[in-house]
Amino acid sequence: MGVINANNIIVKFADKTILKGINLEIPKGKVTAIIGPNGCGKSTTLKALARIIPCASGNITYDGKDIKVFSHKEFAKHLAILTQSPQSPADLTVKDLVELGRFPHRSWWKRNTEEDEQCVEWALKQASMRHMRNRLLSTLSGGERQRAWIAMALAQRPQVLLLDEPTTYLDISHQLEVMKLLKKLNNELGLTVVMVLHDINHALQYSDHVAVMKKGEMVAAGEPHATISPELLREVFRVKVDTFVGSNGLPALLPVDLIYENK
Amino acid sequence: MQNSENDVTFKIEKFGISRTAWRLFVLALFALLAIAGLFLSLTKGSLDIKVEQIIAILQSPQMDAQSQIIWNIRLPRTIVGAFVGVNLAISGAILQAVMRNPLADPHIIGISSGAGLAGVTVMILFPHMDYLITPIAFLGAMAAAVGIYILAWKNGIKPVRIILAGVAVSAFLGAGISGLMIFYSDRVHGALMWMVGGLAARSWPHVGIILPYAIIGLILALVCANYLNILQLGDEMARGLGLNVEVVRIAMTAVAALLAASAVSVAGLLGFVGLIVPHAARLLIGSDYRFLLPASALLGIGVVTLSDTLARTMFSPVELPVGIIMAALGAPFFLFLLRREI
Repeated sequence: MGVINANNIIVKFADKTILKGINLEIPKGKVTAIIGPNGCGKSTTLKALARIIPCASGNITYDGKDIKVFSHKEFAKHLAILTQSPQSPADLTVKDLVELGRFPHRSWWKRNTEEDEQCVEWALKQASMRHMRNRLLSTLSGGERQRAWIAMALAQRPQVLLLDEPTTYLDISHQLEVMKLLKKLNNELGLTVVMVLHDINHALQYSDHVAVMKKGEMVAAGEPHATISPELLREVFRVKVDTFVGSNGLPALLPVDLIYENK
Repeated sequence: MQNSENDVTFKIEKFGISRTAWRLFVLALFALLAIAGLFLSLTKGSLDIKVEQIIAILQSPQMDAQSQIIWNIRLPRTIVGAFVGVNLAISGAILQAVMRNPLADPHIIGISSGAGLAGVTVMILFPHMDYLITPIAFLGAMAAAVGIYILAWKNGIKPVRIILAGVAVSAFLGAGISGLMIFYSDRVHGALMWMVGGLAARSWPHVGIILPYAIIGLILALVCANYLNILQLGDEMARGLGLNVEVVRIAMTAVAALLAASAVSVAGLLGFVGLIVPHAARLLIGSDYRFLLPASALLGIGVVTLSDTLARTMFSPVELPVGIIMAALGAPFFLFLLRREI
């Protein structure tokens, strides 16, 4: 039984069915990666788990309770989400942003409390953003900005952090920086991390659990090295991959060719 | 938007002033401007009255001409102008956050076209019932806003759908206004004055109409400033942070509609206040709504009262509608913003 369980969820946009009955279990305290081709419904799945998109049928439970029974703010104290390239006003500083993460803990009539201040400090420290607290978000590099957003999500004090393609638009070193930060948060805080990833190797190296989707359906789920095989990638992505072992001792995959199906 | 706001913040960092100090300084500046506007509006006119005399008259009204002018003409007109400025500026600031569009203003949600058609209908078809202009215009404004909302509703509200529905409905109602003015071209004068917007002959009853909306709207807006801040992160992040986006968007649009409807029903279709004032305030004070809302309100008071004083005195004894002054100043300012930001 995972911390989040999606049971046969169906999500529709207008008449189009995006998710065709997904079952997904998010193990508690682990890093889960959701992978799959463009348009397979990975982001939609993530948003359904975060209650941003409603399900047409099926149900999702958090800690055994239907996510619909939580109030908006109550749910945001348990689960934080970072969507892909979120927007922000141009004059927002890192600290302003992280303070917004305290929103679910605040009543509308209350000002910043001592606890809010401490949480903001703690979140900035966890994301190694303390020295940049007064920088404008718009002046940060892509990797720093992503860390600022992660700090905002941490200020919510969630048990679960969902991220939609956290490494997109980042160069390879910033990609690793973000993946290592997430792994560290998982190790040190026991934070459950769920991320939609494009890079199969990141999924292999940084996740404990992987869910593979194709065309709105769940194709496979399990331990990454056992699940992500050349055969699976051939079926799901229609690519031929070669397998290597990296100097860190972990297997890595290199796509070498497309496979064209004969019709 | 990006560059200019960065510029401002960087300048502040160079000055070595903390951001809070800068924001308080801007607020104080706008407050001074508002006070200057209020007093200029009271002192200037066909008869110039000194500030000391005004203060004396306000403390103890006499029966002389000066007292009459202040109490019966200038004071109510100044108060109406101030609240019109507050309401339109706050309404525009709210709508810019709720629609997440820098061009959003009270026109977008149909307030102007609704009030316009309703007001012009009364003026042209029922000229003997001109006491009904204000309430009918208010109803027209709210009816248009609700209509646009319903037309834009489809599994919830999307800002872009509201904006496009607003454009279409405004064009439709505008056709009605033009049609009426062409069929009854002999009665157009009053309607034209009202379409431009003005504060001429506004008195205590108008204060009574706009006051409750101004106070309630201002309080609600300030209370919800944090919600507006969260909304600026986009719908999905706002939902992730535990904001009930649909409810907040509907409620805040309703607040903006009431504020703007009460303003245009007493002062006619003042253009640009709802657009330029929040933008000007945002450029100086930033986009944190806890500061932006009071700043917009104060700047709104200053802009409307100063423009109205100018409109009354510039071609005295002929009085221009304040809408002309504001549009004449507002359009160039808006173009300036456009050049800087986009």
